[in-house]
Amino acid sequence: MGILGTRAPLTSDIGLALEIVTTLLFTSGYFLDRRRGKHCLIMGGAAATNTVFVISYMISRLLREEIPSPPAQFSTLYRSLVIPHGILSVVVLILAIAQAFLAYHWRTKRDNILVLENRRTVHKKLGIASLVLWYFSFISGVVVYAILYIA
Amino acid sequence: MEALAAAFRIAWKDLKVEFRRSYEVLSILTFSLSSILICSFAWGGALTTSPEVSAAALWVILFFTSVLTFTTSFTREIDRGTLGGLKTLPCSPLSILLGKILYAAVLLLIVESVMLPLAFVFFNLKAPTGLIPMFLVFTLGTIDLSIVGSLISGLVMFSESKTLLLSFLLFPVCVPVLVPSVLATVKIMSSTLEVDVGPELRLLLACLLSTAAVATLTFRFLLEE
Repeated sequence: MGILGTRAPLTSDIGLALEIVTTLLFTSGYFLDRRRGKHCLIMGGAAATNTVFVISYMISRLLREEIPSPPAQFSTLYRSLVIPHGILSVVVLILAIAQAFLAYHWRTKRDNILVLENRRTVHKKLGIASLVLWYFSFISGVVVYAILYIA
Repeated sequence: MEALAAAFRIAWKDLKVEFRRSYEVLSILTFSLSSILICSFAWGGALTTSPEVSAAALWVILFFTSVLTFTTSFTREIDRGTLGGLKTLPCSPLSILLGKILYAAVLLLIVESVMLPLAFVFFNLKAPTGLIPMFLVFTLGTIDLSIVGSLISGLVMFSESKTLLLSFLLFPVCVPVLVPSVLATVKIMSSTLEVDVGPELRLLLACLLSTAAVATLTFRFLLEE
């Protein structure tokens, strides 16, 4: 039994709270892009909270916590959401790692301006794609939680 | 205490500005009332609407009403060039955010106090037995929406096409507020006995604490030069 009084286990409740925090941090970090130091700090915070979420999810899988089957009226919605949610989560994770790599190299290596500018452009373009995909993953995650543990 | 007093003063100033130009409040009220009327006519006013449909409609209307409210929150300061004045106030940036949250919450609660009784009349709903749970769900949901909306409004205030961005960003971050609120409202409306909306209220509370934590940590960066 979790802390929120729903049918969800503790790890799912913690996961939901961490996902909300991560989403808001990603959004805030994206709009503070002009202030590089703050942008890095907030995005680093978002990456940290998301890493904690992934670890808590992995622990719950290791403990073999049972995932209940969805209520009959929601089974189609559940199936059509949970598959894209899984795929999108992996895609977003890869994009996040790529973004962190681009940002780190852009900030530390200061030799070739042209390469750095290219990395910056790629970082910016991937940023909006990552944010939109994250939103889809987040929304589907919240709806899946609601179907499994509240409805 | 001083921070809280400053927040109240900012909220009071915003509410005074809002009611001085009453067409903004009236346009928000008109939107919510016309939405209720349209839904009522579409569903055939003589029939009793199912609680599931009514709860969803009420929260959708409330969500769009909140979008209208947040477009005037920080954006107005930018449009009128008064953000500089706000920044020079002898108070912390958090007091400014808290003031905006209070302003949005009060405005939304005023709209709700007009919208909800009319919704019960036009949707032909039975009076709910759980008035206190209903009050708690709507109040907590409104405060949640106000915190998220004010933060997003502050984030997009320097961007181009702020209004579009606001509505685009507000939906994903409001989903954890809207889902438990709708589920709790359905429970309350469909039951003739006392209902337990504890899990939904705790979810809303968890959402409130998470958003408040992020707002506290990040908002001060927004107003820095």
